[in-house]
Amino acid sequence: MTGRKESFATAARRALSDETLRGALRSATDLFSLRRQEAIDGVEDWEDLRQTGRRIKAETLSRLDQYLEQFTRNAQAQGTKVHWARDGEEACRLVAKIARDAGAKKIVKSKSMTTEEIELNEALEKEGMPPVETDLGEWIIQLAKEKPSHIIVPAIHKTKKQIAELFASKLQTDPSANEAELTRTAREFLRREFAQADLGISGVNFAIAETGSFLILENEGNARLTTSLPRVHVAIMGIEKVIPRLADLPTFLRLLPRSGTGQQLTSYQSIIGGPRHGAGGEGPIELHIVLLDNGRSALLRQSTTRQALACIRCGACLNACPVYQQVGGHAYGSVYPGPIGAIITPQLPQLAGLEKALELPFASSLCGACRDVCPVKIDIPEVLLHLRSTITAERRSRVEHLAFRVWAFLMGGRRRLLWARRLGRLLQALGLLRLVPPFSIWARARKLRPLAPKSFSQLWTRNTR
Amino acid sequence: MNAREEILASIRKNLGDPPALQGGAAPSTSQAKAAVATREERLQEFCRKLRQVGGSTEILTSTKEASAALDLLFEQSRATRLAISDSPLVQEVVRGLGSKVQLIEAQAPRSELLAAEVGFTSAQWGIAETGSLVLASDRERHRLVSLLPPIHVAILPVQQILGSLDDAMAKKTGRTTTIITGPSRTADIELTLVVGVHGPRQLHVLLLR
Repeated sequence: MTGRKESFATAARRALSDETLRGALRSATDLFSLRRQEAIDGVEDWEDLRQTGRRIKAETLSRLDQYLEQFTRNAQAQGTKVHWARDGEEACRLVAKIARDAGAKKIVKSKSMTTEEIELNEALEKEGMPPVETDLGEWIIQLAKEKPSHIIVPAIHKTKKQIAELFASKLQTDPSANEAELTRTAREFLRREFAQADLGISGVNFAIAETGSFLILENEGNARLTTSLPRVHVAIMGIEKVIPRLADLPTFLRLLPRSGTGQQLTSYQSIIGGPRHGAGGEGPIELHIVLLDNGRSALLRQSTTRQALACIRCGACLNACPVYQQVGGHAYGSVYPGPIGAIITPQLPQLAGLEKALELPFASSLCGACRDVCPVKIDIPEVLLHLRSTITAERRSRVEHLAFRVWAFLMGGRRRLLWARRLGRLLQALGLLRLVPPFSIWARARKLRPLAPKSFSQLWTRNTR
Repeated sequence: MNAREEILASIRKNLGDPPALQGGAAPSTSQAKAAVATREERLQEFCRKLRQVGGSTEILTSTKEASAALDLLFEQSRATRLAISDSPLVQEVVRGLGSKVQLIEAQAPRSELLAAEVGFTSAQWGIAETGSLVLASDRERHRLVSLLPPIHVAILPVQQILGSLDDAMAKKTGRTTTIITGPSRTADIELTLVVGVHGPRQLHVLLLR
């Protein structure tokens, strides 16, 4: 392989030698997996649920244009302003314009991976309108000026001690504070922000075509505050988030919290149907939603890649993945890490240019643990193999190509194979086999004696004489 | 072409011009959960599930008892500022209060609601399957009263407890609906559970027979 593969490997090696990180990852992913299993054990038709989830998503994606149009019509009928963005930059421009037109002085934000994907915070900061993250994990990494390392628990890579020290240095609080005290600090600080907020930005978990409303799930209450206190609410969603009917929601409400955090349900679901209605109404006066493509529509072309759009962003695949469990999210170099990240990062143009993007489909042992836990039955290994094939076809490695030509030649005739074997045994006996690629890569960390003193065919010939 | 047209065109091109939906969406393939039979069973299941996630439940037989329960809560929490929704049931219970508390209406300014210690609302429905409350914004002004104060008390007539999430969705309340299952929580720090983050840290449900 070319030198490119080394950079994920380098990042992984760095993560592997970070004992604190590994400890944090180990306990978190173990606990998540345990809680998920306990939650699923309480459901007698879990496999049926998964199949239903997969079917609903497949049906929606097969007519995505019509469901998006239906959603738009119904949303607009409630007074919601619907915007469309072809790519991340257009989405950021739209949000900035809405904020400027609203004269927003204080912007609060609830957790949204889509906004991380399009780097919305950076775009708004450049315009002099920095949003304040209000989800505890997101606020922690905002203070630390880091990227999230998990799609559900952004600060999973940090220990309580590290977080306490971070708060102490930024907010002059007690560096030995416990989890409850740290949470209280966040609550008090962010409450002051909420008190003045005039614009709230959120993501969307599911948009319902039938009603033109959309759902946000959470535990903390910050999304409810973000979407009900300020005068203006802007929601951003990938176009794949739409589902046909309200009646489809319970399937996903049964699948997502169990898969993501091992809960039967998160503390709050907000189904937002429109801006404030009439004089006696509550909530924002203006409601905007931005429908983002950013490369998603292209994935519809082939059924292999289309299934990646079924993802409901639960994070179960991350917790199950033996690679993610060892190295964590930052090693992937993308806001979407883990198995789902490995299949969407190389396919979304905004992320495909990231340094490690094209290595990610190769950073897997294809064990299939992700496929087993995916609530909507995405066959992630199938997509990984597909991507390996397309990436290799486009970025043919001369060395690898030559190696396969040599191999094909040697395997092409019995005499050639016998001579290759004799040569191999000689090199092995001299201890030189470990210098020959690809054996050299294998031999870096393992013993190397692939060739037996006598081959099977030699033994057979001798014993059947 | 504007963004909408371009995106829709891209979708259609990649899908290879899919067949149109005949008169609305295809029939739902979701399975509705089997209904939990009697009202009594739904009530018991609701209480069990809500307690599992850290909410408290109390079954009462009159609004007088509800007023007494609230009085006790004020005494225990030493609260003096009560935010209330515009529900007639809530107003009735509040009229029967013995405690001297400052009342904050739902349409009060944000700063006053932020200063309230208890928020008292009704709920439109309960869901037995999950121990959840369903708050429909077009029926009652309780969006902020149920969210800002650190203690949320909700009163719910037991006949309003539905069996499943599917039953709740069938209500199609329109506008904004909030489903509340227990107090607010987080596990963002080392996955240690902390109850009471941005939303209330206590949820008390008064169930009225």
